Amino acid sequence: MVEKGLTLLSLACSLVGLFTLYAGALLIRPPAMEIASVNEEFVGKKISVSGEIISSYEHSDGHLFLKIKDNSGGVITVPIFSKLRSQLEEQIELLDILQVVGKIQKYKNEIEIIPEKIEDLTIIHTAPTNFSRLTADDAGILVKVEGKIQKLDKAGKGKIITLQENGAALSVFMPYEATKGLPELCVGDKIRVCGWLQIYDQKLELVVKEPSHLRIIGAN
Amino acid sequence: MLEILAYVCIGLAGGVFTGLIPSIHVNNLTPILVGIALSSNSSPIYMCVAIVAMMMTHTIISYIPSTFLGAPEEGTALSVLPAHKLLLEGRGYEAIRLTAFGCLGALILSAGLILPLNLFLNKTYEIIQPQMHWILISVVAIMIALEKSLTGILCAMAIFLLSGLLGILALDASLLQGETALMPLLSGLFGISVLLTSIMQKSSIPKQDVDENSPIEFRSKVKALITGTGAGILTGIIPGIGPSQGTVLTQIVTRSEDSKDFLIAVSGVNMSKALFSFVALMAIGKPRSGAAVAVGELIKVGPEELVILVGSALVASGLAAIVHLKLGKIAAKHMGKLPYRKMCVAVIASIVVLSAYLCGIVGIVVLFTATAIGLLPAATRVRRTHCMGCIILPCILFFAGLKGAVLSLLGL
Repeated sequence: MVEKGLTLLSLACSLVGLFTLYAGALLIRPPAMEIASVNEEFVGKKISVSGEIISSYEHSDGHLFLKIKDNSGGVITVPIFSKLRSQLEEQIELLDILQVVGKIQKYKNEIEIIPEKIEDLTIIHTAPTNFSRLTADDAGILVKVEGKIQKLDKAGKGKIITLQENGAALSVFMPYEATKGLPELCVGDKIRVCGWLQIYDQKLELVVKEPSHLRIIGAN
Repeated sequence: MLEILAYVCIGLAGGVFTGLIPSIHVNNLTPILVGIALSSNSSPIYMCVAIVAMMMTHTIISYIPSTFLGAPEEGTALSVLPAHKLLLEGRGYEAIRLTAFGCLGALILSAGLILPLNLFLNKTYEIIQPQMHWILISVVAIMIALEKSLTGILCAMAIFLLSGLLGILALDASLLQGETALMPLLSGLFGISVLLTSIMQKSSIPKQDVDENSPIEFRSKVKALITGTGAGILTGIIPGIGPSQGTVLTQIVTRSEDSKDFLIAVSGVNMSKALFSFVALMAIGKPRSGAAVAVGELIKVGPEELVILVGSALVASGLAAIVHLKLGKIAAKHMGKLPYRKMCVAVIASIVVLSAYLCGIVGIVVLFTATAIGLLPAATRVRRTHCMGCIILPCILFFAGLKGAVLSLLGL
């Protein structure tokens, strides 16, 4: 009888406590904002934004600077400092969807959202585009593609990679700056690469701006 | 060499301090040490030696408060009950000796395994990581199925889910800051609930047997030691899996209900996890503890640095084990003279005050809820390990890639 009473009392207290914490969590939840509406008035406030990664830059100290854009058309910088970055278990790629909770800060006239802990970042990976479907009309857009290296050529100090996927081929141009620190590539390696489409010599090609935008996902 | 030994002693002193005071962790001191190292001219490897020594010492010494005061942290959460059981049988010092044996045995075993494991650790990690949620789900399923009756299974499931929900709210809902949430969470589930049960049962601490000549039967304990070390290595490499989950794994492998085996296994898990969290820096390039993050900030760990760090860990642990036995003996000698129930009340009061200080009013609500859930296993006569749902459920969701979706579903 005592045990039954204790069980019921403990259960009731557990449920009351869980409900109180849930209600508290809902109340203190940072508001989800459209990026275009985030301005200087939000500096120092904690908010949540979500958007597509349209730019990424790796600092030599290991920091990662991302820019995300949402449907409102607004763009915001997300600095992921090296200490936090070392805890990331997954690769962040261009065009992935990133949800960030953080404090708004202004740095060099630019609004930034600073995630403090790993739980502040949620990454939703997006699938690569099948490049056989890309046409000249797509020139100027940012895409993520995946394929096997069919050929490797030099273009000045840079590289031209010919990718193959399901019988279709795509040229990937990597200017010299984008090849610095790049792992050694071999014909037959499967790679995933993000870049901007352009028309060169009447052919569609992908231009990669950062070495981190190319990743080997299956070595030959 | 002398400098290294001096820094080992600094780490040892720091580890004794953090280990003896419940809720103070190595992570509270490492930012200070990193700051000193970055602003001084001496080689950063020395401060890394101090950090490693502090981590290993803390791991060993933290069994003193968890045994005599019932105040747990993440690594010692599951050891509270068996250690407390031995304490109430007048064998608190035996618990201290068993944890010293488990810690040192596992350290020597895991240090010997660094070289062979290093060769294929990276590949194994890549294979295991995507399947981690399935491994955890299997562990939980087996843990629940081990209950003897249908009522027990249903109660175990309810306790696991309630603890899991509490873990999600405390650790992932931005209510509390990072690791500070673990203090009220684990103190409620494994500390206050145990102490309240002792008070309700009008327990008292009998005179403690401090015989240090009774031998530990090595042969019968080897299985617990080996499985504890293996599980510790696994938890040291894979993120999000704490020593408690490692201990659950060893319990399933050894199928042992013996308190002594349990204490050896849990201390073995804790110690090899602590060592391999530094090894992971070199093997997979990722830190696996707050202390390893600090070491990673100061130096790039290569084979030479690892040899120095492992050597320092061995020296520090040997010295820490001696301190552990001495302090444990002093505690055991004087415990019986103290009024146990009043002491339990004092410990509960100090946990409440510390939770309020570290986590504010939210910490008190978490502590209250965790204590209520922590009382359920004893009341429904199921294993207390189901309360580890507070960490295992968030881990399963994380590895399955469902954490974001679940938090969104809850509107958090």
